[in-house]
Amino acid sequence: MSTAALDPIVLEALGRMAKEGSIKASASMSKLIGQTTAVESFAVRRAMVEEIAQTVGKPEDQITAIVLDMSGDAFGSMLLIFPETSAKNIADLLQKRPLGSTHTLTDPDISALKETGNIIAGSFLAAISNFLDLNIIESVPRISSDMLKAVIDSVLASFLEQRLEEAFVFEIQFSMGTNEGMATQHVPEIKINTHFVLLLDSKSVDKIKGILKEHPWGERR
Amino acid sequence: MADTQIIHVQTADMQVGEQDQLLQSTGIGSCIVITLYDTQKKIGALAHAMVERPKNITPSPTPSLRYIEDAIDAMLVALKALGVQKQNLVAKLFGGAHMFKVFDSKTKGVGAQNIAAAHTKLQQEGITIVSNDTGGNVGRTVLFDLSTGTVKITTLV
Repeated sequence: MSTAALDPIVLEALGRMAKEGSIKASASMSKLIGQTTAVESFAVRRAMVEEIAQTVGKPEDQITAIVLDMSGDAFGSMLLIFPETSAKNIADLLQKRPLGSTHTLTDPDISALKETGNIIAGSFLAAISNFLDLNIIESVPRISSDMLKAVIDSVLASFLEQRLEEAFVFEIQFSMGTNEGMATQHVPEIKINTHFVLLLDSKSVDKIKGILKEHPWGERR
Repeated sequence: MADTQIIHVQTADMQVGEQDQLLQSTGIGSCIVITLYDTQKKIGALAHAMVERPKNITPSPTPSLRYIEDAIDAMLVALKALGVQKQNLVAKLFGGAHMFKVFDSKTKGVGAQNIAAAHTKLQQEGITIVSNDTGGNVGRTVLFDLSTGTVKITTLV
């Protein structure tokens, strides 16, 4: 099977892994915020490195991005990108404030968002690790709130020496605060939009392609 | 200004222009934007490069406007084609920010490496840097007015 023929398999497989990860992440988020959280929509696409920002939004859109690096059996980075409104809504939910209270993210808000990034990215990573039987270690999260393109390009820059050409972009919408189940206070349902960008170095992509070539449905174990 | 045309310069791209045109590049983080301007002819160029050209990699990467050195070379070729002489050019630099502390473990971050690489390349070409707004930890957008050579910078903070 040629590399080109494997590409749709890689995309589909990563999509399935990420979807499973997002469902696990929503369950963890439910516990964290004390409100029902669900995955409303999910989409996956590939993007050339220079086109990632425009895949996500407008260059000067204010966003908050949480970044974790991967090491071990695969090397790369994961970016979790929230539009500013979603980031502030999450901060309100986590800090038990009325929605719309946050105008500027404070240090405790940033810590809470990092924890959110840790949960979501960790769930994705667990799904990928289990599916591919890889031991992938994640770094501590880092965060930046600024212009979309300025933030994304700054992460991409460190990959250019590795001749990275493409990335996988997952677009996920969570609904939070449906006031069901474990709800402790009334919170109107809100939609949290996020983009999850998976950047892998070329060796890691080749390794994953090799695994999927032999075990396209994850029956490696 | 009614007839002023704005030309958008994307990441890993370069554009040239002349009087009555504006060159704009948005969302500059650790990337470097270089402007070159001939004050007499009122012709200039703007490049938005991402990193310095990788060293110690075999084979050497093909030239790309992603790389600061290649972007400056491309600007000089394009300006020469418009009759601009290198000795009449002045440069300005923008960007090279440190958006995450993620790269603190390196001896210096990508932004700082980019600033240094741009300085080195322009020095090698004998082009004076007349001003710069680099470093820090904010994203920038720049608007280069080719009728005056001035550059307007905007940030979210």
